[in-house]
Amino acid sequence: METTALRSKKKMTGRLTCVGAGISIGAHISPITRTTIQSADIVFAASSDSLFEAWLSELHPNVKSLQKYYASGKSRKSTYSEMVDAILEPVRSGKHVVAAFYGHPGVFVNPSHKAVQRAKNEGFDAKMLPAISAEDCLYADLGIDPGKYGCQHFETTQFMLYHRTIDTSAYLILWQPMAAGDLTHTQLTSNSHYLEVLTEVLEDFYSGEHVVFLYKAATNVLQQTKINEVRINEIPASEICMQTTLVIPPYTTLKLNEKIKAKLESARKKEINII
Amino acid sequence: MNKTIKALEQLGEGASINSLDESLDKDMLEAINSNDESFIIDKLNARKDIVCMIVPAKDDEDEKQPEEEPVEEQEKQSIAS
Repeated sequence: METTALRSKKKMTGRLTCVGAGISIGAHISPITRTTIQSADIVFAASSDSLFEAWLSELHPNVKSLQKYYASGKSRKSTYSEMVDAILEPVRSGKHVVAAFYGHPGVFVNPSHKAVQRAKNEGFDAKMLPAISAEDCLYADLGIDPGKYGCQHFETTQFMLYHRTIDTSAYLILWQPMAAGDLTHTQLTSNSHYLEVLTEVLEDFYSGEHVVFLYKAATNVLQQTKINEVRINEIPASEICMQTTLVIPPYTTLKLNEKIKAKLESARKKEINII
Repeated sequence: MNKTIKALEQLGEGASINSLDESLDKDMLEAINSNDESFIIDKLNARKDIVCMIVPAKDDEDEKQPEEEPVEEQEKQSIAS
C-alpha cells in the first residue's frame, strides 16, 4: 500500500509536456521536441495519417496511440475527454508524460490545452512547446503574408453557428470544413447538405463566384501539397477531407479611414511643433 | 527505428535518396521513388483510417459565453447613466 509520502513524492515528479511534431515527417520536428520525446517515460501520439502515426510510434519505445479513443458514431467530445484522462493517469503516477500531436499542440487542438490545464490544477508541472502548424505551411505554400491584408481564423462550425463580424478585405481561413455544421461531433466525412449551409453563410459576405482555396499540406515527402481552386458556390460538390482547410482571399479592397488619417496627421504636426 | 520510416524521416530532413541506407528493401526503395504511399503503408502494416480531428466543432465553453454578454451590457448601461 502506498504511503502518503510516496504519493506526494510521485505527485512532485509527475509532469506533462505537450509537443507538436509538425506537419511533415522529419521536416518540422524541432530539436527540443525530439529531445523531450526521447526523455519521456511514456509518449501519447495523435497523428494526421498512417505514415505519420508509424513515424511517431518509432520515436520512443513506449508510444501509445490516441487513435483508439475515436469511434464511429461517438461524439468527439467524449473522445477528447478520454484522451485527457489517459494522458493524465501516468502523470499522477509520477511519470514524465509527453503528449505528441501533429502540427502545433496548441493550435486547433482541444485535449492538449485541457490536459495541461488539468495537470496544473492538480499541482503538476505541465507545459506546452510551440511547433510548426498547418497554418505555417499554408502561408508558405499559398504565398500568403498574413500581415499584408490581415488574416482571420475560425473553426468552420463555430463560424457558421454564431454571428461573427468578418472583414472581407482580409483573408478568412476556416479550419475543419469537413466537419462543417456537425453539431453531433460524430461526423468523419464531409456532408454536402451542411456545406450548402456554409456556402449560404459565406454568400452573406461574398459573391458565390469568389475564388477560394481548398488546401491540404503534404505530411511526408511522398505527397504533394493539394491546392484546389474553387468558387464559393462549388464548395458543396468539392472534395474535402479531414486535413482540408478553406482559405478565402480578400474580396473587397482596404478602405482608408480618412478621419483617423487626419487625426494622425494632426498628431504628427503637434509632434513636430514640440521638437 | 524501422529502416523505411528512418528513410522517410531522412528525406523529410532534406537528405537525397542516394544517401539512404543501402540495406533498405528494394521494393520499399522503389515505392519511395515512385511516391507509392499505399504500398509502404501496407508493407509496414501501419494503422489505416487515422482520424486527425482534435478540436470539437463546438466546445463545452461555448455555452458559457452568452451568459457573459448581458453582464457587460448592464455595465455599459450603468456607466452610460
